[in-house]
Amino acid sequence: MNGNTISSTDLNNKSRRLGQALIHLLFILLCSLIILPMLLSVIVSFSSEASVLQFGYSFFPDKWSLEAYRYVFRDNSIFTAYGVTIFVTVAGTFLSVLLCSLCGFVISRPMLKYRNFIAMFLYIPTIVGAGLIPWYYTIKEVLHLSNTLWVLILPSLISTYNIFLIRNYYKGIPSSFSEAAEIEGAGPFTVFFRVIFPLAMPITATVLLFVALGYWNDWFNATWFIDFNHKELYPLQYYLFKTWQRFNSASEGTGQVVPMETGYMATMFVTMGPIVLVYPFVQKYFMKGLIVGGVKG
Amino acid sequence: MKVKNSENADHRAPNLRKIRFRRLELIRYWRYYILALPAVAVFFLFAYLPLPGIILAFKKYTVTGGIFGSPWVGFDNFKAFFTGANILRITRNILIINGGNIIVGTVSSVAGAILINELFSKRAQKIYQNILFLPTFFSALLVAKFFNLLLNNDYGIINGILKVSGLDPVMWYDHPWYWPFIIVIANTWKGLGNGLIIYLASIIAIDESVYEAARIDGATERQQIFRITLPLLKPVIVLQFLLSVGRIFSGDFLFIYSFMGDNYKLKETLDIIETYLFNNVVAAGSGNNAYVDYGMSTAIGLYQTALGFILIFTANTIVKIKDKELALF
Repeated sequence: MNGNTISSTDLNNKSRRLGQALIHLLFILLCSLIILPMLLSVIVSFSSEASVLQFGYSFFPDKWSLEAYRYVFRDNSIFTAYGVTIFVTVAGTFLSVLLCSLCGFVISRPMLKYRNFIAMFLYIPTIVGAGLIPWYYTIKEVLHLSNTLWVLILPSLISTYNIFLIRNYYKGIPSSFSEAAEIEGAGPFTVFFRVIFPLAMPITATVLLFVALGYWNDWFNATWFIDFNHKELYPLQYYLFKTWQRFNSASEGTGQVVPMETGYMATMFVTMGPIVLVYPFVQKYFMKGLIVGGVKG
Repeated sequence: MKVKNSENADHRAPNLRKIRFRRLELIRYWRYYILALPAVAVFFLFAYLPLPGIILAFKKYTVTGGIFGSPWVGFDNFKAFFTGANILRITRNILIINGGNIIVGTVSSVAGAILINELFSKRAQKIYQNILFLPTFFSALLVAKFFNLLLNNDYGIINGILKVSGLDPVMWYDHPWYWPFIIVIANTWKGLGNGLIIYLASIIAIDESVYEAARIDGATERQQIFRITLPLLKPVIVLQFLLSVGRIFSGDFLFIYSFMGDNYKLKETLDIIETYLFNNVVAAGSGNNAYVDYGMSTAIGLYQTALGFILIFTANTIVKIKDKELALF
């Protein structure tokens, strides 16, 4: 009887350890499905084009080479694309966070009677919108923004979701802080920048990171509004997409020698680099922000 | 009488003051309202200014006429699209791709969250989470290219392995029917870390004493998962499900377009409304003096909106019948 119980807990422990090992195995497998393609893309970018053409993509290339990077940096185009993306990300994030925070501040003030009117004004288009084509038509034919830097920034500047997220956080700040400042005679501008904004750094940081990532990765507006006569306005992601297309059409063309496969990987590595570098420092804020957003719905 | 009168007066006075106060509101607090003005103005330009353009759906668009001057054609644009061959193909593609995304995405995220929570080592949990979360940061284009490394017809890893083992390579990029499944897998690959974190946060929030009580009553691990964790996760799962149904008709353009590009062979199964409109509006309009049929395109866009409404209402109604409290509206 006694021995039986011991062996059964033993068995329990064993099956438990086996279960743990299996779960570890599963997650190691899943993680390698993410790391291996990244690693492969880097290796291919340093391979010689000839060895890729002969043996395909490989973790152990026949010959290493820097020709892909020489090709990518042969002219300034990738630096131009980098410049566009950096400008759009910095300017867009700054403007977006500033305007959304100000608006969130106004609709969080209980004494303002029209705050709910503004909130409804922001909320309604998230349910019923004009649709893609009237939106496209307005930006192109009414506002005449195609082929400008602004078209990469302005259409996604104001996010109802972010404004509400900010407002909810501001509402949680005890009103005694702002009331004290108002009694001292501080105007709304001062109340916002001196009292509310410094107290709301966590939500500002979260929104800022999400907006910045959005701008960095976005190429929707570029595909719809920037044409091939304005290559100098291509953001990084769209530049990458166009490079792929150009390589594909070049291969069917005159047989001109370009390091297509490796060149593409090199371009990709150059665009992916900053994200991978920044990732360890910002991922925990993203995870937190995700949970805040997920709970709020 | 007198008393009543004075009561009335008392009752009216604050009301009057309230009305005057309301009217003065904008002036009195203009310093506040002006802070919201930039955001409201930009929002107006991109969310409200396009609204009149909806009438283009009922017009034959002409370049000289624009939105208001073009001639009315009633429902001709809708008729043309509804009787054409594309509507069925596109609707089918949307339903297959998004249905797959939602089902596979939810199941894998919930399962992943439960399994990772079972691990004893907190450090391992953190490491796995951080690695799985990384693809959230990648643009759709990078995801497409990573899958191309695997599937490329000529140089891909899979075909490399097949060739070495003496088998015939598979021409992935020539066969449209592989692609809805590849898209679903790619979408799960990108979204797993994201979903896992949302569900894991909810699992961690479950009171530990519930599990303790269950263990004292002799519940096995499996019983704890199926009788405690999953039922308690249900509200989050249902909410995420409804939200993703609501998102079906927005934001897939980049993902699909990254995989499809200009490969016309994949259009059969990957074309969704946004890629279809892109081809008809932007690609068609890129030549000099090319005519873009904004009327037809707006009508197709309206069909997309309507379909979205039908789907979200259906999903919400089903949830409502099963459990009233979990419905969105």
